[in-house]
Amino acid sequence: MNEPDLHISFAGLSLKNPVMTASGTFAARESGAFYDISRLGAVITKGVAAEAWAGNPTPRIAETYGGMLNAVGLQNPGAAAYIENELSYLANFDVPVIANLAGHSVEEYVAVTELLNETNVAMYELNISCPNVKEGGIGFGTDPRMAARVTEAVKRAAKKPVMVKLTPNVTDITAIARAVEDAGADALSLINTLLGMRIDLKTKRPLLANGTGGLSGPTVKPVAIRMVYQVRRAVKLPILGLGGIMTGEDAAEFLLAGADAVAVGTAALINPTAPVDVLEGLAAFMRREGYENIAALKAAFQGE
Amino acid sequence: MKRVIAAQVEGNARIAPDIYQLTLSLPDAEEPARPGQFVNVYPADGAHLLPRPISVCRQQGSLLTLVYRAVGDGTRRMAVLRPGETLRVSSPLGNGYALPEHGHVLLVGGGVGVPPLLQTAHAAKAKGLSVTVALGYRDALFLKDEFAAASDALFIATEDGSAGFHGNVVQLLAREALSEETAVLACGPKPMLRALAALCAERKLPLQVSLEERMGCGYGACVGCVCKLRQNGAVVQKRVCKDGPVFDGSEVIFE
Repeated sequence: MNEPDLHISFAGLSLKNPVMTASGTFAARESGAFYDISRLGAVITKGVAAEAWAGNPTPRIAETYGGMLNAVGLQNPGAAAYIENELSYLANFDVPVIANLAGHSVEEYVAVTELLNETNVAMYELNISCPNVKEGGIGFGTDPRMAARVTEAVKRAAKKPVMVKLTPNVTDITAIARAVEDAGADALSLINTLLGMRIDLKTKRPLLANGTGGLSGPTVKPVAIRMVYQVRRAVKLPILGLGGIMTGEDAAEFLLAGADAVAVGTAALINPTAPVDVLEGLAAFMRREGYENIAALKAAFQGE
Repeated sequence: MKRVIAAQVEGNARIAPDIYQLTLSLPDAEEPARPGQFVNVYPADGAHLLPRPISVCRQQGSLLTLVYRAVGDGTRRMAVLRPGETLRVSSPLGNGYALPEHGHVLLVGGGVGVPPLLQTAHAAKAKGLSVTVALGYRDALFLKDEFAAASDALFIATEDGSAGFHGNVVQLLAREALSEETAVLACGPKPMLRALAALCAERKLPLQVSLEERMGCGYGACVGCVCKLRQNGAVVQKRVCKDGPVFDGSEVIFE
């Protein structure tokens, strides 16, 4: 059979395939040292705020069966350095750039949005898992009202499509998804990491200097699949599915659950070429199963 | 391009308590490791998905030698590898030591920080530099003969006094007169590096230190492993895996 057509349209972007990098696991020069990043559908860059953030103390990384915990704390150089170093370098590649945005308040989210409006960024991904320092440090993404408010404010300021990244650390993710859709989001991405913790049996201290951190890796995949499936049935927005994707088959599973595109995150830490390996694996799966394009694969879901 | 490849285990010998010398043959020519670089070793089992950064002890053609301490679950699994088995390893990563163009280098190693200095000693000799090596061990020595063959002078310190100077390697060096033309390159535990940085500051010797930190990706993508440096009066954070692991010892903030 012919080579499957992997091209998709995602919230107004025309992408050569549905495979992206997940925020926080990709850096243009560093990842580009291992594979041609132009092969990907899009790249999502590390969370960036208007001003530089120092992040958390080390150790920031801990392992656990089937995954890892991280508490990097969104260390980033701020929008100006991001534009100068990362975005300008990415302009050399034929790949759309999605900028992941971070903030401690609605005002900070709006500020970084405005700073990136006149750049080559193709889309924003709003990381609403950050704590809202003006409202007692509760994560924006855990409260439908706060999630809607920050989405609305960024959407008003943005000159690019806005994708909102949902945290799984909520009782009902569909309530947040609906609130964000009503607030004007152009797409959703899910899931962010699951809050976790490990303790060192020798020192009796948490393994992470921050105490808790975000769980990611293959162990979280069933949770992510379930949430994509639920959100697909709750909203009409395009969905970027992520959480534990290691192979092309994992990517196909997300597409069947209702995702329109997928992102590869922790797998790239375990295997630097994982994003392109997932892309090749997805194409091979579609060839093997006889799907001509992504829509045909998605339509094959037999759940209901 | 950098890559991760399946290397074949040629040997994996215990050369001291908990210390193993792993020799790997690479399937085809790999870019040669610069002194002080490391490779990521991928244990690839469910509980240990992240790479282990292991410094290059020696690379000769397609033969790569890593000397490591089996200290945690990941490295203990490496210790049971047998000849003929395969292990996934990355291309050499990180910035290595900057060797001076001429003159004298002093290589200072402590414990499992000793191995990368062997590649460094050979590179320095090949460059025509005069090479002094000072190695500190807790008790059992390893790689001593290899260093003797790659240096002009070799000093040994053991904490239990079983060989050489009784004490740590920085105490040993503090008793020696060090020429002002010496470039000091070091790898070892943080307390050793901190003490060495103080000694080098006092003697006005340029110091390069190789740091360790718990890493995520090991190639600069995740920003899991950072250290703090003082540069031009400001505190800056650098990635140990990508911006290091070798840094200017006078800039590192040892916490």
